[in-house]
Amino acid sequence: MEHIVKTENLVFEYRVAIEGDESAIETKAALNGVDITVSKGEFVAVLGHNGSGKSTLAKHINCLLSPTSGGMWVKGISVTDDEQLWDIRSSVGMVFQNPDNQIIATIVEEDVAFGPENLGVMPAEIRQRVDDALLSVGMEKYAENPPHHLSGGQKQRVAIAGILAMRPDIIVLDEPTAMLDPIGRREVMRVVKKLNSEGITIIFITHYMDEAAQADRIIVMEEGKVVMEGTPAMVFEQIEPLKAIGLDVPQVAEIADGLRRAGVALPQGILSVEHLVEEICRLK
Amino acid sequence: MLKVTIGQYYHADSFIHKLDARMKLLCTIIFITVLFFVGNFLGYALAALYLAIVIKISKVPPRFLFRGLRAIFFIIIFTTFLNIFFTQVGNVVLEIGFIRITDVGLVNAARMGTRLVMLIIGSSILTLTTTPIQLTDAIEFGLKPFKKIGVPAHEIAMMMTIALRFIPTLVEEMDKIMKAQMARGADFDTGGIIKKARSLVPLLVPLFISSFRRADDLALAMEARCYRGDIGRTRMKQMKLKTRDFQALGFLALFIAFVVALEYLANIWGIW
Repeated sequence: MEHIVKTENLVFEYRVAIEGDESAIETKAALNGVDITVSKGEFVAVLGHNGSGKSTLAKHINCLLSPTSGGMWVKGISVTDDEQLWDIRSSVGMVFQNPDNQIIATIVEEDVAFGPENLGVMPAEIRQRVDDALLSVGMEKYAENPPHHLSGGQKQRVAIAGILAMRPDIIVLDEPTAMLDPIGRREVMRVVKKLNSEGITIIFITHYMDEAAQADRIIVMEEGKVVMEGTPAMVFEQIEPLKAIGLDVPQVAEIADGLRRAGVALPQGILSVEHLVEEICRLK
Repeated sequence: MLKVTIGQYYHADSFIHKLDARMKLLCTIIFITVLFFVGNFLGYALAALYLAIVIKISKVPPRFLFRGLRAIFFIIIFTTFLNIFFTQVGNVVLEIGFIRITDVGLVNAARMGTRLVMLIIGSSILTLTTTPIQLTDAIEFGLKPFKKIGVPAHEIAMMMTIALRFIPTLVEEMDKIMKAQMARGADFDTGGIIKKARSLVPLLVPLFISSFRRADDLALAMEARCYRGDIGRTRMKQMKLKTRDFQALGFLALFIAFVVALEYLANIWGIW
């Protein structure tokens, strides 16, 4: 399969002043030798608790940060190549955590048009893209509404539409559901999965295990390094190592694990309630 | 939650509302300029008639226009009195102690007051019938010629748009902070003006801090969406002048023709 994102020994360092001593500056590594590859059309979830470097990694994919050392390629283009910066940015869309802080215009459709306007797309084409994008996220009824009257989930869908209108190959979502209620989270998840089924590569950063369980592959990060990688079933089997770095496993996986320990003969890799029910019914 | 209306846009479906914002801005500027050239009261009557017709067409209830006047009522009164008391030429009408009121002073005061009132009403019609975003676009267009001498037209317009976008968000946040502090015993309602002002400090500090954070996030989001100023930028909504825009301009031209004719006649007949 074609690699759309690839990193090799990616390092990102930043400097912080040490408290109490004004002249001393300490170098900290947010990313400390990351090697990952993402295939075209894949849905990858990145897990890790606060400060594990997952957001820093996301910002590299869109060239918002540039690596201290090591390499990173998006669609085969090196992110350190300044001349290709806008090519990369126009094919990698980014959705951020706070729905309020990424909407620029006072009307929903104007905001969706912001990206293609920046790319210099012709007016008639922008109109078409905006209508398509709003339809795709199910927000077409709100095209002429002011954004501050929308719910959090709706705002995030508008933000996704704004990215879609730029026709990206990859969408990076940096904890897009962290500030949403359960309904909003479900709405966003549904849209993300739909887009992935339409061929867009998704890199989804989250700390909700249930959301990560829906991905094709999970990458677990800790202290700037990738510590685990594999399908959700493979990753969530490792209950102890995950707990050791402060992460949980989906509730269903934990229940299945408990049952297994108690002597119930359940297979590995149970991540959904439906699957668990099915397996339990199969028991004698 | 607090109710927020941005600007003072009054939504209605009228000829004036449908006009291109650039044309409305241009007409308003011309109208205000003309007001300052009109010297005689017949001219003012004509301007008032013109305004009345425009208001009628715009379908904006007149009370909305007077609301705008109330805000600057004090300035109007002040200017008027200044003109009455400080004009010392002309025939004395009334003299009490050191106060001397002359006929020229009275005429000047009336003239200034009328001008100000009409100026406010004229510009209120613009803001009442144009959405803030349209107005921003019109201002950007109007500033374009000055780009050569370093006026950042696009940046000014973008700043205005973002400000408009974030006013409701910040008001909501202010409300939240206020409630959070009231829940912990803060008192915003009692005390004199100084005490009240001081109680605002703990409100404004968190609000400022969070605005900086928002600005940071927003800048990142804009950059991620390929924003780089107005380099190679297009717009989804193109502004196009239509027949009605030229009709409006024609109507204004007609008004100016009348005013000029009147001014000329007034000079011949020797009335002010």
